[in-house]
Amino acid sequence: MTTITHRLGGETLTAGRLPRATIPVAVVASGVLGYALAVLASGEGNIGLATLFAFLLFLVTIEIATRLVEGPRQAADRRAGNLIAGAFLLALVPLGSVAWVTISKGVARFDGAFFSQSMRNVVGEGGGAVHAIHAGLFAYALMGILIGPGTKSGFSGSIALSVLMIPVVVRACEELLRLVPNELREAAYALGVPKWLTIVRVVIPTAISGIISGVILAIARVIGETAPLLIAMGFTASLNNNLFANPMMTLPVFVYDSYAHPGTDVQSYLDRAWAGALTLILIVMILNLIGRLIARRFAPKTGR
Amino acid sequence: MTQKLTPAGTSRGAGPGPGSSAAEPKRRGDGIFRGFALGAGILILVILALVAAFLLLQGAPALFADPARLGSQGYGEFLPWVLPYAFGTVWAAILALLLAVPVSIGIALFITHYAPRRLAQPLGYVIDLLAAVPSVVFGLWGSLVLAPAAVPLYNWLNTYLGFIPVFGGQVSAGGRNIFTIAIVLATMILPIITSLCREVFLQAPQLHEEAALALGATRWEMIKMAVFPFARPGIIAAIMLGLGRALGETMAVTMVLSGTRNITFEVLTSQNPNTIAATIAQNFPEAYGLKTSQLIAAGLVLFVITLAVNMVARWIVSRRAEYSGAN
Repeated sequence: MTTITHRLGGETLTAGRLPRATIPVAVVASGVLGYALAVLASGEGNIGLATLFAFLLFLVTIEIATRLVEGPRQAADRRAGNLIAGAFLLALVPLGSVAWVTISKGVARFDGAFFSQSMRNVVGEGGGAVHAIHAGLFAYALMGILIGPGTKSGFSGSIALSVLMIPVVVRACEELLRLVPNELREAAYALGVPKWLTIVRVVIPTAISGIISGVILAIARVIGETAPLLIAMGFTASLNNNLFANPMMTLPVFVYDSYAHPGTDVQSYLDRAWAGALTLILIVMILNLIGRLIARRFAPKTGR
Repeated sequence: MTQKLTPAGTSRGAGPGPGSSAAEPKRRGDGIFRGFALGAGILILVILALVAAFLLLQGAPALFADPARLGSQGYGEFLPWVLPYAFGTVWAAILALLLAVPVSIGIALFITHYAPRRLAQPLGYVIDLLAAVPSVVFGLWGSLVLAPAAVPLYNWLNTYLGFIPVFGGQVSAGGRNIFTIAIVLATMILPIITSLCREVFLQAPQLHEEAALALGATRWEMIKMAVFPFARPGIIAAIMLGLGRALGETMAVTMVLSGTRNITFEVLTSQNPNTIAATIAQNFPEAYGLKTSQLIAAGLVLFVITLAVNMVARWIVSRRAEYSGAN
C-alpha cells in the first residue's frame, strides 16, 4: 500500500506515456516530409506516392517514439492500430474512385434524351452458391431442351436470375426467422395452436418486414447481374415486350454492350456506358436504402 | 458457420412442438405445411442438381468427342484447351485474395474495435452498400480508369523488382494485365469479406475481451488473445466466400483483361491467362454446335473448382469449430 502511494506521489499519472499532441504533430510532419520525398523521387508531386511515403514515415516515427517512451508492448499496439486504420483508408481509395468517376462521367450524359432515346431497348429485369455464369448456362440449356436450341428470351433470363436469387433470399429469411423470439412460439403452442398456424400467424408476421427487406436487397443484387443475361437473353437494339420470344436487353447488358461493341464515335458510346452505370448504381442504392429502412423501422422486437 | 448452426436451429424449431410424445394429436394442417416446407427445401437441391445435370448433358458432346473433331469444329482438344483458363481463374482469384484479405480484416477490426461507436454503424452500412455495386460498373472502372492509372506503378515494379519472377517480363502498355484484374477483384470481394468478418468480430464474447483488458492487455493484445481465436473459423469462411465470388466473377474480367491462352506466373505482361467465366462470356454469343458444348463443359470445370473450394472451406470450418472455445 505504501509503495503504491509513494510511486503515485512521485510521478504524475501521465508519466511514461506519449504526450497527447504526438499523433497530430506526427501526422502533419510526416505528411509534409512525405510530399517532399515524393517530389524528390519522381520530380513532380504524385499524391499516391506522397501518401505512401507519409504513411511509412508516420509508422516508423510512432514506432520509435512509442518504443522509447512507452515500451515494446504499447509500440506493438500502436503499430497494429495504425496498420488497421491504414487498411481502412486504403480501401476507401478504389471504392471512392469508383463512385467519383461514375458520378462525374455519368452525369455528362444523364439527361432526358439518354432515357428516351439511347435506352429505348432496355426493359426491366425479368424475374427479378451457383455462379452467375452457371445460372445463365443452365437457363440457356433448359430453354434449349424445352423449346429448341439457341433460344434466347426474356423468360430464360428470368430463370437464370431466380436461380441466383433463391439462395440470397433463403439466407436472409433464415436469419430473420431465427430472430423471432422463442417465447412467442411457446406461448402459441401453450394455447394449443397447431404448429403451421403458429408459423403463419405468429412467426411470419413478426418477421415479415425483414423478409420483405431481404427480398428487396436480393432484387438489388440481381439487378446488376450481367453475365447470365448475356448468355440467356442476348442483345437487341429495340424494345421487346414479349417475355417469351426474341432477345431482350437489360441495363447492365446495355452498359457492357456500349463498352464492348462501340460504333464509329467511341466517346459517345463510352459516355452512354457511364451514364448507364450511374443509373444502375442509383437504382441499386435506392433499393438498398428502402430495404434497410423497412428492416430498421419494423424490425422484430427481440427483447434485447 | 451456417452448417454448425443449422441443426441447432432445426431442433429448436421442432423441439418445443406440441405434444412431443405418444398423445400427439394428428393434425392435417401440420402435415400439409410440413410437406410444403420440405418440398421447397428439396426444390433447391433439385435445382442445384439440375444445374449440374444440364451442364453435364450439354457439355458431354465436347467431353467425349474425338479430339480431331474438336480440333476442326471446336476450339481444340479439350484438356489442353481448358487447362490455361482453369489456371487463370485460380491464379487471378488467389492474387485477389492476397490483396483483399489483410485489408478487409483490417477494415472489419477498425469498424468493430477502433472506430468511434457513432461512426461505426454508418461505416458498416457504407461497406455493405458497396457489396451491391454491380460488376459492370467495376468492369468499366477497371478498364477505363484503373488500368491506365496503374501503368506507372507497373513500370516501377518491373524496373526495381523485376528480378522477382512474378514481376518480370515485358510490361503491357495498356495496363490490362492480371494484376489489374486482381486489384479489381480484390475491390469487389472486399465488402463481402469485411461484412462477414465484422459480424464474427462483433460476436466475440465481450466478457473475454473485458477480462483481457482488465488483466492489463493492450487493445492489440486483447484482439490477438480474445477476438482472433474465437473468430478464426468465421474468418476462414469469409475468405472462402470471397474466393468463391472471385472465381466466378465474369463481367469485370471480361471487360478489363485482354486474355490469351497460356500459363504464366508473370502478372504484368500482356500475355495473361484468361479466366473460364470470362472465356464463356466472350465466346458464347458467337458459338454454335460443338463450340457451345465445349464452353458449357468449361463451365462444368469451373463448377467443380468452386465446389471443391466450398467443400474445403466447410471442412476447415467444421474441423476448427471444435477447438474454438466459443461453444
